[in-house]
Amino acid sequence: MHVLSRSDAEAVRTRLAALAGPVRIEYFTEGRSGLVIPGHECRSCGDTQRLLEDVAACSSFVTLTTHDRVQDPQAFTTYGVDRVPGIALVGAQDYGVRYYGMPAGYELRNLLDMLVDVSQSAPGLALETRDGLATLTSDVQMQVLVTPT
Amino acid sequence: MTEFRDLVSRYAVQGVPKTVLNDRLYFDGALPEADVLSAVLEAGRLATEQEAT
Repeated sequence: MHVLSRSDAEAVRTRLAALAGPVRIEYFTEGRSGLVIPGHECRSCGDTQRLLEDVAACSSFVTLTTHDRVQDPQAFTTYGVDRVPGIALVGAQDYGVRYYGMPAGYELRNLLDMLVDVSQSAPGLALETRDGLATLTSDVQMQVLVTPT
Repeated sequence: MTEFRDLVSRYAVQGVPKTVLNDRLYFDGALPEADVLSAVLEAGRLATEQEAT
């Protein structure tokens, strides 16, 4: 069952035409074994899986891999993912870009922009910004909290 | 935010977007790139200070 309409899929294809190279979507979801921890059900995991499958089908540059919390817990540790649904967007390197939750509505556009960004070897930042970031001597975690619209 | 209500409480989110840096600094809404850089550098400076103590 597809989440994207035909016209939405065409819009996704158009946006992903800007990908500069292969990208990986590492998707982290609850266990598909049927085991659920009461109070920790992931209501959007199934819809997010289907949405990401539709997105991956829109470009040969996109590879989707799904990691199940019960059967593949090591992957959660490897990618530093601590909640589901969780999405790691990986280009030539893992730049630490993560998306948590279902990228619904306008957030899908943000996810596509993030995919394009990680596909590029140089981000679209001003030279002053890149020079400033090069002076960092400790890790900085940025969390952007949003609501799907 | 509708999915992760624990984060709404933890970061006292009243409006989105809200950007949190190293769980210590935050800003609301969208900022110009130079201001985002300043916030990131400040968060990095505080982290380095903390690691030194």
